[in-house]
Amino acid sequence: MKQQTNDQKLAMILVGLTLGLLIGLQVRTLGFQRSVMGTSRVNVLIERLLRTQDEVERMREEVDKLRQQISDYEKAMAEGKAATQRMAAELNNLRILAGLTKVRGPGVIVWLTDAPKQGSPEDPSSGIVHDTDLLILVNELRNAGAEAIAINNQRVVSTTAIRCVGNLITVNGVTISPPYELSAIGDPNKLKEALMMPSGIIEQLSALGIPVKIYQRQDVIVPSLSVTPKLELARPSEKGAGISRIQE
Amino acid sequence: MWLGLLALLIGLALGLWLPSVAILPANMQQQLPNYLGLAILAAIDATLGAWRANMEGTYDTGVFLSGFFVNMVAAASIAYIGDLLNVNLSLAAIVAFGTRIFNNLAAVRRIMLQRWRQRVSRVG
Repeated sequence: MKQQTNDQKLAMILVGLTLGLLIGLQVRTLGFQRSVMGTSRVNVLIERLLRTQDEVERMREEVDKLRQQISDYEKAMAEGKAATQRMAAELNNLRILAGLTKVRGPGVIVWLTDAPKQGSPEDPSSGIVHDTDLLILVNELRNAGAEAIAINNQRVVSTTAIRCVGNLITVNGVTISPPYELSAIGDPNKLKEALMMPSGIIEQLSALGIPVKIYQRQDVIVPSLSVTPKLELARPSEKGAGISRIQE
Repeated sequence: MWLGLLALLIGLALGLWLPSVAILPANMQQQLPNYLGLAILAAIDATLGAWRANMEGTYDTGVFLSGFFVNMVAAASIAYIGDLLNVNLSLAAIVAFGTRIFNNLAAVRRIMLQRWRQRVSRVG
């Protein structure tokens, strides 16, 4: 071996240190990577890990939300059974009022027809049953608490028109002819009393020679509306406060 | 010679002991070995070159040290630029330094063999 100068010694130390440091670092880094990550695609794995953690977090929140919903539903179910029954009963009542179902119950049947012989010579039409007579009858029945009314099997509801077309009467747009039969469900006694009121409608009709009979029955059948009227314009009003009135 | 080996061992111990790697961000941890490996290759080449020069009697400390550090940085830089350009320039460094390492080793081997034969013939 040649004699080494100080320069050479310094160079050797420097080079040896540097090379050793680098090799050590390299071995350590690679070993660290292998032990922790297994593969070199660290970025991909880290990203995937973060995304999965996010997803887990989101799903936990969803689980909480769904649990809350379940408990809400359970509470609603406990309260809702009674509500559903009440609603069903209410719906039934409304269907009866709207004339959508055939109904039966105690009530009266009013039978009347045109007078057999013509009325007074001054007014030939006086012995005939007019649309207004039927309207007054219906009005009296309603006033006495009739819950369902039909004229010759035409159910009378809120949209029903009773009017004269030529010499015929139409109810719900359907032509009816004498004899007329009004079926009404309600308290039979009240209904009869209302009709038999002194100087009431029956008295007036009888005075004109029109035969009228009232039957009280424990089982009167009132049919449902044959054609459900269309609703095209009327909408429920959200705000209850406003009432339209013509200001003069 | 022994001084160099001792320094190498101390350096190795330092490199293995330093906790620096875990501190680096994850993407740097991933990228570092690519460049560090090339730097080590360049360093080994420079060291073998110095050994050969020493054997041939043309050794120069300035040339050795400058070659050692400049080649190290250059190899890592070339690899980095290659990564930026999406060209595998590190291959060029690997081939160049690899070839030179084998050439240097071969030269050292031949010189050593020659000397050994000379010694044997002198003794014999």
